[in-house]
Amino acid sequence: MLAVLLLLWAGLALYPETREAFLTAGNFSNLTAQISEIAIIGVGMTMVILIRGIDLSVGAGMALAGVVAAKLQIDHQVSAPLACLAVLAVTSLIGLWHGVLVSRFRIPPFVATLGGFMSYRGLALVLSGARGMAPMRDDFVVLGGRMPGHVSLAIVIALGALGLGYLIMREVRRKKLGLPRMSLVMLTVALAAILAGVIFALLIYQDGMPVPVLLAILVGLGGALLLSRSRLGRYAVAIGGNSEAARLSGVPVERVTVLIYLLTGALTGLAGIVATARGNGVTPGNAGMMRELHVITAVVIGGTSLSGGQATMVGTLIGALIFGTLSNGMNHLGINSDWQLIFTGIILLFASLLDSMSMKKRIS
Amino acid sequence: MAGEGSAQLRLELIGIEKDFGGVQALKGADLSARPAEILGLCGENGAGKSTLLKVLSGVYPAGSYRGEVRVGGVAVALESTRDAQERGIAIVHQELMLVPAMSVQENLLLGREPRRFGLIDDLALGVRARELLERFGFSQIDPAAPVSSLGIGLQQIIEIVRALSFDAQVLILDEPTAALTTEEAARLHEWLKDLRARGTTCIYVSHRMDEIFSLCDRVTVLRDGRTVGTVVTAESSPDAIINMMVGRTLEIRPPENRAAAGPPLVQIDSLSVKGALSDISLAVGAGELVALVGALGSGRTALLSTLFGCAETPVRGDVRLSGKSLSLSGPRDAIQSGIAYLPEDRKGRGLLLDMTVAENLSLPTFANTPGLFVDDERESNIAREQIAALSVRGTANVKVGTLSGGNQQKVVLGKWLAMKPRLLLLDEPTRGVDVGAREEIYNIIERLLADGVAVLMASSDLQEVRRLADRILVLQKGRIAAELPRGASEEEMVRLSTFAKGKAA
Repeated sequence: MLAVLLLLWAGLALYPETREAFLTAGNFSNLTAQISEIAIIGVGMTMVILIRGIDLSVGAGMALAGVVAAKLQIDHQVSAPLACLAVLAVTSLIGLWHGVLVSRFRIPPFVATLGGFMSYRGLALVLSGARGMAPMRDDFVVLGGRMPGHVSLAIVIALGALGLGYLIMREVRRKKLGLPRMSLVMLTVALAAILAGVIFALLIYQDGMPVPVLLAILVGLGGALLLSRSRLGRYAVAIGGNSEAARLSGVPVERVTVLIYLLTGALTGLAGIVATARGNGVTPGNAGMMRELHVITAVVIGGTSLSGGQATMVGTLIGALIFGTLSNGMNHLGINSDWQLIFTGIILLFASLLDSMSMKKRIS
Repeated sequence: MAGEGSAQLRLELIGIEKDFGGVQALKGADLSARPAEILGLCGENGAGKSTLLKVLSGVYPAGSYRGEVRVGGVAVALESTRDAQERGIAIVHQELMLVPAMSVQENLLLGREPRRFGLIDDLALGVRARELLERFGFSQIDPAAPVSSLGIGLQQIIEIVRALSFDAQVLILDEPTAALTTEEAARLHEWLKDLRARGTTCIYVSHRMDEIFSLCDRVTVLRDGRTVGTVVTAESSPDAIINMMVGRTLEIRPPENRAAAGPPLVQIDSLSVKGALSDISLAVGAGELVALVGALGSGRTALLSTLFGCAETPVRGDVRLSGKSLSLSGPRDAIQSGIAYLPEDRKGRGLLLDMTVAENLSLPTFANTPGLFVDDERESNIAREQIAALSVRGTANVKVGTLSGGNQQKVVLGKWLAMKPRLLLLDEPTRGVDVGAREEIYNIIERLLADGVAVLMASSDLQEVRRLADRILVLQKGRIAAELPRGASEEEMVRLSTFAKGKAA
């Protein structure tokens, strides 16, 4: 998948008509800010799809989150941090509700969240009187803006150092446990990847990193740890792969399911906050419109299997980048949004075709 | 159990009753096991063995059944599998209970992952898993490999190692050797004897009398949800136990002398499938049964599924049925040329468990005749005929999933017989089928042979091969390694199928 992304970038960078507009720091910075909502929800959706679920309500949930945030700030003069907490509480409760419906009442996830898909949008419209709400408080809008250049510089370097530290810690521990060391090639690749990431980030965020991007990076890192190194993640893989085996191994299937939907709810709230802050307001009729499908697209492009049991967080983040690059590239090519839909659909099918072909190869 | 003080019993099940929506699976089953003993558990399919084991291992929580479970003389209420594990009861289920997308080490320690700073310590996990594999003599398995990359036999081994690693006081094994090679099974039996010497109680479920008698100290027999009795193996005989199981005397018949095989009906010429089969040539006559034996992965199943058009990689070679070349392009074509296939994995590939007996029986017939609507009358006719012909114990309108293994297998057979095949492919036709139903299935096969159907059968039950085969082909790594005549000894079959340079499976 990384290869596909790099290929896309190379194509857009080389094509004469897009080269100038595409290959700028500002464009990359925008691109990453635009997909941050998809990436944030994508972390939760990856876990949901991993356990053979789906959450169709996240787009409507974002709209509801935006309206709650706006109403609290505009009508009730609530401070930004408190408004954010309230939003997260509301959407977490929604997630909890989905989890209970799915695990306790055995309602198929598609149906359980399809109900939310309709009713949360409706609730958002009712609460707002079906009118756009703006502007937000200044300390809230900060969440959609950019950080000062020196702060983002420090953050990028800190993240790079964290990666390096992890690599070293792991080698030390391998030595202590008497395990074979990482091969020189792998070590070089890992170091080069960290270095390339840091340099790339420093280049494209010269004018400061957008706050949504930082949030997406933090959520993505957390999600990667959750999936590959936490019990919850391990149990989710087990449930998706063979839920009966998981149950008989003592995995608390219900609790894990509830927690995963709850997490997705919370992340939907966060994405709603980010979207509202970026737009400095919310239009409940179309905020988060089709977002659930964008997120699912990113997750599938990233290689997570809709039949469960297989997922990578990095894949989802790359999937989100591919999704963002496509619409960004098509904008630069002057393709109108109607055609963009058609192409995006074709590319989604192409991605799952690739996936099913590589799956076949693995079997034979 | 008169005369036995409870104090010396490790485990007791007393008067267990359990029903599933009106069907009573257990009607008062008792079982008691001592420390340092291997207790066999026998019974026909549907006798309630699996249900009893699920009560014992906490799969069915206390309260969902009547009766008492005592561990070490104390009545306990097992609420979950984890609860049972904590009380020292571990189980190896009959079906594979592994997570395919996970690695060997993740499966081995699922639910017990070592942690560091609150996160799973995957390095320590690898080390622990390697220790476990080494302790049980399987250091050649790479703990980091995905478990789906191992053959079924090794996957079963992983599951057994996982259960053993709980250091359980009571270890329950539900037909653990069904998918193992002779060598792997022998190794498993050594471990079990070793565990017994260290005081562990094992409860061992098997259909195979040779295993029961070489391994178990005592045998408890279940019939129709009740305990019929418990005998000391040294003072009993296979016949006696089979009689207890079926409640009637059953003669094991010697191989029958069939009429000489007819002209070749099926002619296979240098059939090759990349990665599975190379250069297979053989012929099967009308009314002839050719058996395929060999270790797991030797190509038995691959050959059968290729003939049914299910090969996953390109096929080379020529297969003719009554002189007509077959396309091998898919099951639909195969069925239309008169080929029927009874797959090894009955529940996964043979049946639609949630559909009724009648619906299962008529599916291949309807799928291969034109028309827009399901002909109810024809369906019930097919069902009635096959249920009677195969003496399936169940009615046309019950879900197949509720039948016992033997009856399920008869339905799989029936679904093909309804369309009168010319070539029948059988893969482990009696795996997990009890003695009584097994004999009935053999009779059905004999009847088909008498009608001139050609049969190609893969089996790892060598007694079955001896009982049925006109000729025996030994497969090794996708090639035919040897051919043996009717009545070849089991020793010879084993010797030829394991006489390889490398290791089997």
